[in-house]
Amino acid sequence: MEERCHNLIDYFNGTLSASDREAFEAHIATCDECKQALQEMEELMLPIAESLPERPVPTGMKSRILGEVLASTNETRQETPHVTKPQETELEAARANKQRKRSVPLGWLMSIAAVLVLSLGANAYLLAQEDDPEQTETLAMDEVNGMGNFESTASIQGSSMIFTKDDKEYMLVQLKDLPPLKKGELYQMWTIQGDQVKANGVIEKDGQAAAVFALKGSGKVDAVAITVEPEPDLAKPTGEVIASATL
Amino acid sequence: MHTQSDESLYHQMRGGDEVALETLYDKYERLLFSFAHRFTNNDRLSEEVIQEVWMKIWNGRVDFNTEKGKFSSWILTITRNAALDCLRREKRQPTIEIEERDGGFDEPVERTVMQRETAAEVREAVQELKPEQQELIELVYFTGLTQQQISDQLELPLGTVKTRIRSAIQALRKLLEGRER
Repeated sequence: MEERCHNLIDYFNGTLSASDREAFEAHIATCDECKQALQEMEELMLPIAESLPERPVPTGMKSRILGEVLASTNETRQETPHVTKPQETELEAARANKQRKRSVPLGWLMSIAAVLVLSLGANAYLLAQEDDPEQTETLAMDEVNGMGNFESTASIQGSSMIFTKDDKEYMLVQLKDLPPLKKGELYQMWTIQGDQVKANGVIEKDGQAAAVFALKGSGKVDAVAITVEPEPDLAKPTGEVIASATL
Repeated sequence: MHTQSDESLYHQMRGGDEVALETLYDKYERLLFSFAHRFTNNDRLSEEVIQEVWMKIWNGRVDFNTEKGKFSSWILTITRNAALDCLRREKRQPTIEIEERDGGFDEPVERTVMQRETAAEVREAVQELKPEQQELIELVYFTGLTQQQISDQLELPLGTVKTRIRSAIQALRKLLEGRER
């Protein structure tokens, strides 16, 4: 008998550590005696259970348990969503918060961009996550009106998207490799509509960033540009354009 | 009458069929409740255990396949694990009273899973085992004690415990087989 054979009872009772459990599972694949002994123990479970005196089941147990189990379906599906149709409550939250700027991890956003484009036939949905993955917000898009990648003089990468939701227009910006800012500086987003240039959103961090801004003005946005500015929302850019995306 | 096998109901349920879930639930409700109760000795905890079992099954956190034997043995194993986890959480040990269990066998029961009346057969088979074998079966199946704890409790060497458990299980199997037609 091998040393591992002594772990059979503890394996059956779930008292082994994770590493011992894995080792025993590897062992049992090659030890016919343990395999058979475990099978015998499991096969006796049904007759032993059936031999027990029957207990009266508490009133309403079935509806409580099935109610909880069926309600757990949605929770489980929400645990690992990427781009998904939001639940009604999420939609309501998204509506209530829609004017708020949302910051989302950039890598994650990048990965969903292609999915969003593919979803245009139906409604496209964006799930924005804060740093805490438990805090999931949903932003529903009715229509995507334009999308483009940034070209940069400063190795900035990213993309921008204009979309509508409830007849309002929004601009999504996702960026990475933003160069470090000096104290007091900020990244200013500008929208270019024909010959009009409007300050439309500020990002006050370097590195990676992503945000959604309510679009100012109306009409088709031709391009989004980024400059470094000393103050937010100036009438005209004072710094040089370091990145721009044609939509 | 349900003529569908548990295995086929299980696969339907895993595909999201709520009716199949309910059918399986109904079929096992009383058996699982009595079984869980044997560990917890408490209605509320037994219900919690059973809810945990169906949560795991419905949401695919445990997966059954026919390589794992019969569905009934599998779901009882899941229930037993959940009950032992519950006991550990509650930091309680169930009372070990062989006499009480034997006495409990006397009441007539309506069975929901097996067609044949096995309760009386198993009761008789268990009673034919030597008292120390009955105690070992009890310790292994219903207390979740480690082999070391069983060894300490029975004041037997560790290796001897395993050998005796194995022989008690084989003896019970033989007795049960002898009762099958």
